[in-house]
Amino acid sequence: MIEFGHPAALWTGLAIGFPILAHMAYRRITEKYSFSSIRFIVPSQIPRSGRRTPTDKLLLLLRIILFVAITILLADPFWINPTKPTEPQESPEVVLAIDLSPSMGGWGGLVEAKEIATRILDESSDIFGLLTFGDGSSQEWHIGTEVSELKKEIANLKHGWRRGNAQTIIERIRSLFSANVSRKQLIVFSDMQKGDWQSVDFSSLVGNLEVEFYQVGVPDDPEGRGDNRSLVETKVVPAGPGKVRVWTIARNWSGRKREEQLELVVGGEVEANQTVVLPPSGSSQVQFILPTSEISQATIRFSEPDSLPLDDQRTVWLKAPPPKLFGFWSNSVEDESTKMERNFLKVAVESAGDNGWNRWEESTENADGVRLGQNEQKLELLLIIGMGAWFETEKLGENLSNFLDSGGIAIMTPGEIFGETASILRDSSWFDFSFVRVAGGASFNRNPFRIASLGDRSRLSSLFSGNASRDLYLTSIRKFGILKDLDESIEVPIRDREGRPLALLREYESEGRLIFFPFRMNNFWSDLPLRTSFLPLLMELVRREDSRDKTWPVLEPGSSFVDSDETFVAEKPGVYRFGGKWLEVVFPPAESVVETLEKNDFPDVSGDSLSANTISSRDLNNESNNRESLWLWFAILVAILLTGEMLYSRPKSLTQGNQIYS
Amino acid sequence: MLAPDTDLLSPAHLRRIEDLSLLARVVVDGAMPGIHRSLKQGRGSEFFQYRPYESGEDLKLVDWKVFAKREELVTKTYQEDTNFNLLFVLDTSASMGFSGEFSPVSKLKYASMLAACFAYLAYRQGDRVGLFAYSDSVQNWIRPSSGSAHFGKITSALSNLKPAGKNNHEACWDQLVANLPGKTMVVFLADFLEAEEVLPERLRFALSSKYEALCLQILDREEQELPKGDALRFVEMEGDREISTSPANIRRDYQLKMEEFQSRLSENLSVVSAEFESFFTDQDLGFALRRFIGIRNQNLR
Repeated sequence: MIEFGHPAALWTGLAIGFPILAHMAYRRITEKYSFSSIRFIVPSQIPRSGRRTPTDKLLLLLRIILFVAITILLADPFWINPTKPTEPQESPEVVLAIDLSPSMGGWGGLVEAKEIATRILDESSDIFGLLTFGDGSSQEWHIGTEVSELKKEIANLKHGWRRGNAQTIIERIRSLFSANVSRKQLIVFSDMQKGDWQSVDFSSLVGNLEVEFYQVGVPDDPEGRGDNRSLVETKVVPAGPGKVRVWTIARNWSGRKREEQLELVVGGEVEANQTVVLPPSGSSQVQFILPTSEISQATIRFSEPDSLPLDDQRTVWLKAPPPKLFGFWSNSVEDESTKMERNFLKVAVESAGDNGWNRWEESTENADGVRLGQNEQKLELLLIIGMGAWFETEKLGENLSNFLDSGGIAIMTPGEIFGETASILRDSSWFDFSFVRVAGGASFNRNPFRIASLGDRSRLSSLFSGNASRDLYLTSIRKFGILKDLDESIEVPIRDREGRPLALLREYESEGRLIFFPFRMNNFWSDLPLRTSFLPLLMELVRREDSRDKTWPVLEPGSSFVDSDETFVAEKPGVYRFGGKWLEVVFPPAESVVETLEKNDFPDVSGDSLSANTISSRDLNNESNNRESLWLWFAILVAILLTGEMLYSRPKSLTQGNQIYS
Repeated sequence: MLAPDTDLLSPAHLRRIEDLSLLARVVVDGAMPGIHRSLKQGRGSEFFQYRPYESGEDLKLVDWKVFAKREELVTKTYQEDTNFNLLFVLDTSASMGFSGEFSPVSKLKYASMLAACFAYLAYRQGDRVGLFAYSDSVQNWIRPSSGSAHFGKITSALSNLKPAGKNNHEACWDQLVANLPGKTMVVFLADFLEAEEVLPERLRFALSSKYEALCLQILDREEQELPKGDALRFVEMEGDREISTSPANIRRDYQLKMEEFQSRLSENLSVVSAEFESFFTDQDLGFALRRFIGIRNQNLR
């Protein structure tokens, strides 16, 4: 049976068609004719071709058929295959579940979902409810909500920014249905992005629930959603005096090589352009060098948006993040060896930063603050060098304990009299050990120590793994206290080849850490070994388990950042200021993924939890399986009729033989 | 349509000959032998032919080089100039490019054929021939002269004429009349459409015994009878005016107006003693040639 997608077009087609038909039926045929002089030519009544001969009635009929065909063509005709009448069933409760994950904002997914959902609401007399999911939170409209209200709500839906989570509907769906209803139906509209769906546990859907999936936002194009490209990471690092380097990684999700242009927008204007060739399913790095200026933020974007424009740009702060602070405690009257050690450690820690803005800076002010017992200091690393009687005299033990309890990290080296240091450590219950002797006495030991091989479970094993560790020399050290009888709670991350501890470490619940090197640094001999071995050793001991670099916090929508007592919840990509922090919120990278579940994947996803008859994975094409579009056939008919009409109604030729006038 | 003397005179056949000097020779020497008056031989400047020496003739006329080669006495004869100027005035405006559905050639082509034949006749009779072609301005002006080379120049110029522009009879004719040489027959070859009032005024020079004007109107048959067809949108060739009409409906009225126009043109020309003749482009050239020869010979008497 023939039906029309746009029946209203029949009226407009006829309304337009009749005047045109009348016009054509009575149109004047006036062939253009160049003539030497029209002095004696006067206008006259021109015979109307439509009334000339009976054969023109055939032409009129042809035109009528032509316009009827055009009218039907405009009305989008299709053939409905007659289906078997089904048994009348009880009206089910239907929940429309619409995915609002960010990926639905691309490829027209949400628009398509709205269109189908609205059509279902229009065409069905079932009782409907609505559930949105996928953007981290879900909204519900109870079953029985007015269709008009549901349509209005659906029209107003917008995609979220949080990474999609399809598990929400599985968890919520049961509670939406009435307890005593016999038929329950769930219609899910989603792009079925793999990242959102492949880990969904369908087990709670088992039971009397008909589930229907509409996969939206998946183009018919063989490439599918592969036309996407995204900016997966963007960072700002210093690039010499007065300059910063903005680099980004552009990802190509398609299977073919692409050439794209990236723009750097600073202060609302395009500052620079770069063309980047993106390998198939690969990434390329792009860098922009910018002079530092008053402008605090920049945006990198593709000059041409794609089907998912949400991941086509990244905004970053051009401001340097604060450095990590360290400071020293030492005797107010420093001897030569302490000065040397201080200088050495200062250089070592300062050079431990990376090329970016993850840097260390000495803060005497903060170190002195801690020394005076002020807890509100921002010091991360405290170096206590040449610990001796002065430490006890100044009664710094309590302040140090407070510092450690508040999460600080402290490194200590012994004083000139090793016994003094050992007794302080023991008395304060920081480290409990006894020592055999001090190797080399008070003289400088110019022989470098070689460290022992590190066990697999050592926190330093990953740092010194590989060939380099075999050649690892710790340093030339002096006043090396040989320890024994260590308490079991003390961790010894590194020993020399004879098994003697080279460092003691104690962790605190507050993530504070106390490290004791039972020797003093000696950089008279050469600083080379220090660089190759001691520096990474030192920083690895200092590094926190969860340490991240000190660039500005980068959050995904939905995640939060706590500073003091206040919490910042990231909602939408962009750059934000929160307290003294400069935050960046980025588009969830997982939402850029173009892979979606194939129809065949659905049983795999559901596992054994859903039987085959409870899932009818149906997409938009299912409906078109029942209805066959006649558009093409009518288009062909119109083309044939139009050609016939043009041939038939062309002006009577004034040619005779091969001669053509004028 | 008049029956052609021979197929050689039919424009449909002659249009295939691109070289107008050849065409003129084919028409005059081939199709109409003897039409022209025998050449006046004498002491002209142009060599004409050899003939056997006759006793009593001046020995200066003997070609001694021929005698040296063939031991035969022959005398050279020269073509004697008639001191008569023949000036062809051709309208090359866009309307002259009109060619109806059944016409073998355009009006300009027909006029050029006629002019070439007339020029050949004149050349053979020792007349001096010139050409004045114009449309909105003077396109080509070759002063009257004699000789085969000059004849070649005339035919070459005729071959290269292209219909274009809007005619500007008055200005061009004024220019022509002001520069006419003495004892001249001016042959106008034009359609004279819309010129019946201005033409006689410019042809007053024909009243003088030194001049004679021959106005040959070249028309296409469709200009006389209108083309066939139920409805046509006529577009002016020398303007941008357009009129949609049914030729069938206005044909009778149009023909009456054309006849009236031609009779008025003829009357106006007779006032200034100008000969007038009208030709159609499907007519063979014989009639026109005979008419031309008649007027030419009459003038020589």
